[in-house]
Amino acid sequence: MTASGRGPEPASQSPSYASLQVPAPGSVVQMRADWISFYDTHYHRVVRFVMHNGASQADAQDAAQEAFIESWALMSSDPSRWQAITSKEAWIRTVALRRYRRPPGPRRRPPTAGEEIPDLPAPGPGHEELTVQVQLVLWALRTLDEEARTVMAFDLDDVPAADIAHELDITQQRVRDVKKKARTALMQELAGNPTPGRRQP
Amino acid sequence: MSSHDDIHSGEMTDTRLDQLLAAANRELLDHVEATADSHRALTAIMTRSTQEAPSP
Repeated sequence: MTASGRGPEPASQSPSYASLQVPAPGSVVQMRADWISFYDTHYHRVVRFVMHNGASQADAQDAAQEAFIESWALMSSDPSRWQAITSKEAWIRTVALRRYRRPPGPRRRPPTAGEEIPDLPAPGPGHEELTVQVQLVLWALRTLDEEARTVMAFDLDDVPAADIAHELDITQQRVRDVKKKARTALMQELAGNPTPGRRQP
Repeated sequence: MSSHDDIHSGEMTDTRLDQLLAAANRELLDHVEATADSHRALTAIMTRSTQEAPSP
């Protein structure tokens, strides 16, 4: 199961909430400072994560911004729940990915089967300024199915397998299996030996 | 490894894939950091959060 099919937002359901602890009095200021630090560390990386999942940079920035808005709102309205998120790095990426895949408004429409893999070796609109190396990797990632792409995107951000399993609601063994299969497919694509059944340039 | 030909030449090994993914990962982050203004995004987040905050 992928991040897009997990039902409600992590704020209401994610098992990342290992416990609900009430912050000590006076800790709100510290929590906000921690949030700013968290934002500074991860904003660009979350944008990259969403791009690894097939988004243009503009869409990835929108999704990242919406995810951080949600995290700020959660921290402000329910500090104990925010504090209880054990892997905020994985959580914010899951929220951003859901925002990208299931936008609240008509800004984006869901991709159809025919659009999932591009005809040309382009990673998507708005990537013209990227190096050839980056474009090829983004394009190769787009040849993977959604679950494999998301697992690889988490892995590229050094998110532990346990946290990937947690966010995607799959087993760690499943994460390892998907990653192994995805790496084999990427090696074939990037070596110029396309995976059978994939559309190639 | 920096060109299409380099990437497509020879056999792709696990080590080479790791190197390629790591290099592309760094390059993409550099690009995003150079082109996506995190301070402007933070201002937008704070503005949106203020607007969307429930009335007391």
